[in-house]
Amino acid sequence: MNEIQAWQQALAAEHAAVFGYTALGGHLSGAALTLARNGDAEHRRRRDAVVARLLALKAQPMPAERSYTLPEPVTDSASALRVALGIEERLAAVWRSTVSGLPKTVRQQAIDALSDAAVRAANWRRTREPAKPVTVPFPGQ
Amino acid sequence: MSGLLTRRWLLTAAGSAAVVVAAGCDRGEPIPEAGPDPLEPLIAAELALMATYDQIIARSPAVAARLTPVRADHAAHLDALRARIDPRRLSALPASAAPSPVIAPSTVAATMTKLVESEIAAAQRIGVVCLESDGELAETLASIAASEASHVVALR
Repeated sequence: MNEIQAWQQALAAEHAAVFGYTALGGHLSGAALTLARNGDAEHRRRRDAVVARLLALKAQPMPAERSYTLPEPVTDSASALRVALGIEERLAAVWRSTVSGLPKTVRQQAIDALSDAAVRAANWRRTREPAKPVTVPFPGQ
Repeated sequence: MSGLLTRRWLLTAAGSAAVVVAAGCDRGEPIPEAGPDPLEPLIAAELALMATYDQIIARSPAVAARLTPVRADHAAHLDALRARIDPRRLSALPASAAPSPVIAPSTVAATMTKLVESEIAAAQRIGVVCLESDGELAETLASIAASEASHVVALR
């Protein structure tokens, strides 16, 4: 994977994450809603940062699809929490796979994005099932 | 110079100058040709963190349920790092470590704050090595750094 391919892959994943977070809001409240709003804002920011990278490389950033297939329909709070966790786990996998394709000078962006996805996934796990372990040893693997 | 240098080889092939070199090798073991692996400090840091968690878990049953899974993540990280070290160097590394001396606070809240600081510092150190690594190792290191960064959620 070359650098442009790596950024495009990350961009596609961030587009999908923004779409997914938009679908969650109406089914969450309280702390979970705050978590969803923060996630939505963060992924829009990351998406824009990746677009900027691609433009700097004179590449055409991949546009967002009209819609994305979520892992399951979001119909209530429980399904919203499952989908939210799935969004972050998917992002972790994609960002992890970009790490070796990115030059060392810009790779920190992928490490930070992977860490952020792991932190958000941990927060979603804690929101869903606070008594269970909230972290995994190898996010994105 | 490639391959392993043995004490015998040094003694027979390099003459008296080599005797001085070989005198430092008390058991005539093969001398690894490579220098320290950049993963070695990360292995030492994992061992120190695990020892710290063990100490806190033993002292504070109230937080054991929260900390035990975090400690298990570190054990998995340790295994992954060890698997990537030249076995000849690995055998020379310590198998355990003393708990970090910086962690001796009296309250649970202060302990958690120290652990959060340690996890963030560990994640940053691993990230630095990730930037200097290639391929699958770089991806594994990024994943380990992300796991350690996510530990702050378990510690809050």
